[in-house]
Amino acid sequence: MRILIAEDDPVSSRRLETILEKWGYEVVSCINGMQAWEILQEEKAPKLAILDWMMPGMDGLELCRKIRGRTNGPYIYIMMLTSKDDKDDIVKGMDTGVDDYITKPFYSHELKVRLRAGRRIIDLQTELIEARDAFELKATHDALTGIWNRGAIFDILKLEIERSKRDKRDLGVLMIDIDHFKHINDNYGHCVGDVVICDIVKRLTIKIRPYDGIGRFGGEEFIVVLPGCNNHVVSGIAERLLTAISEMPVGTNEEMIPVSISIGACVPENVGNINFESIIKAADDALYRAKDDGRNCFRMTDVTDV
Amino acid sequence: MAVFNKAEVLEELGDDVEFLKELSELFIDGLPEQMDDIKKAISINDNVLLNKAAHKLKGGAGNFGKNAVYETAFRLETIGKEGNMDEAMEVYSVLEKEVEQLVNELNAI
Repeated sequence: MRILIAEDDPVSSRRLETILEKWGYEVVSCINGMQAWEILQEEKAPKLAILDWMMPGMDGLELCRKIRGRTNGPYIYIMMLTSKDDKDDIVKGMDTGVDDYITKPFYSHELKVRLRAGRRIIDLQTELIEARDAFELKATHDALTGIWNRGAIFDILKLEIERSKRDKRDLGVLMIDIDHFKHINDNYGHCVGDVVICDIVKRLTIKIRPYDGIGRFGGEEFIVVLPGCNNHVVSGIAERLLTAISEMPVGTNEEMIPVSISIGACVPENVGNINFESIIKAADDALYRAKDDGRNCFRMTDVTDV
Repeated sequence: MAVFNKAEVLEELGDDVEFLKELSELFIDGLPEQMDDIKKAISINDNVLLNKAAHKLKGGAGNFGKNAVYETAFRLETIGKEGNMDEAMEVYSVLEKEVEQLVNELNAI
């Protein structure tokens, strides 16, 4: 674990460095509060900090106040190392957000166990953050394909609608359905069906731009959100996607399965009037027309319909 | 009588004599400036400066256990804090002798 030492006395600093390194810490040292503050802004900054109370310039107490005033970044466990052993000072320090203190001259055994207590807090927070991130990923991504799930792509579309209104910018939406997917499932089984879905999603994802959004709407239906795209651009992207899927069958352990998709597109003419439901419905209507017109094609809803 | 307890300090440093030597050298190197700062603070009768300078020496000396230099620096720090500078010069003379003895003992390691 990385640990920060802010200590202006070279003897104390050297002693701390040596024993902390002996205990397996990776030590970052500095000699005043300002330097410590800068180190703590870095990416992968130490989460454990030993600060001397009395330092030139910004002292340990002021630094602690500054650290606790941050609204972002991980929690930093602060231990104040000081020869002040006045009760009032300890209260002042803890009030400011110091987690623990140790008075100089310190005994290394005491420091060791106190640091261990600090690490427990940091480890606990790291575990919580990791668990939260993992849940967040699960909550927003489709388990099979890894693209946005229904809820997340809806949120993205809603956000892009608002952004288009504000910036008076075009917005394209595609509703995509895999042709004869039921037939694939019935003939080859659901596992092969999953392979087909994943392969198609992979090809679609490659063909869209990094700032476009793609999500799974339902079983074999997908939504693509295309910010800043007019009719012309949306048509081009839809054609590209159709080709990317139909030009090559999906290879499975069983055999090569020819695949195609149908696409319903919608680009509202007047972004000021659009809402989420109407744009989904328009794309859906266009998708039905593509299906009716023989599949492996795209249809666009007449923009004045929205 | 020795001003610092070598056995106790060594035990604290994991019986690492080289480490104690290294810390001693660092401490001794910084001493002239630290003693000057204290002397200057007393001569211009600046108790705040004395408090800070004595505090700093105390911090460094504390790495060698609670020795005589540590205790006397603490006395000067307190004098600086309380602001009654009458005894400061007298205590400083004691400190000078103790520092000299501590340096001799550290050099003898």
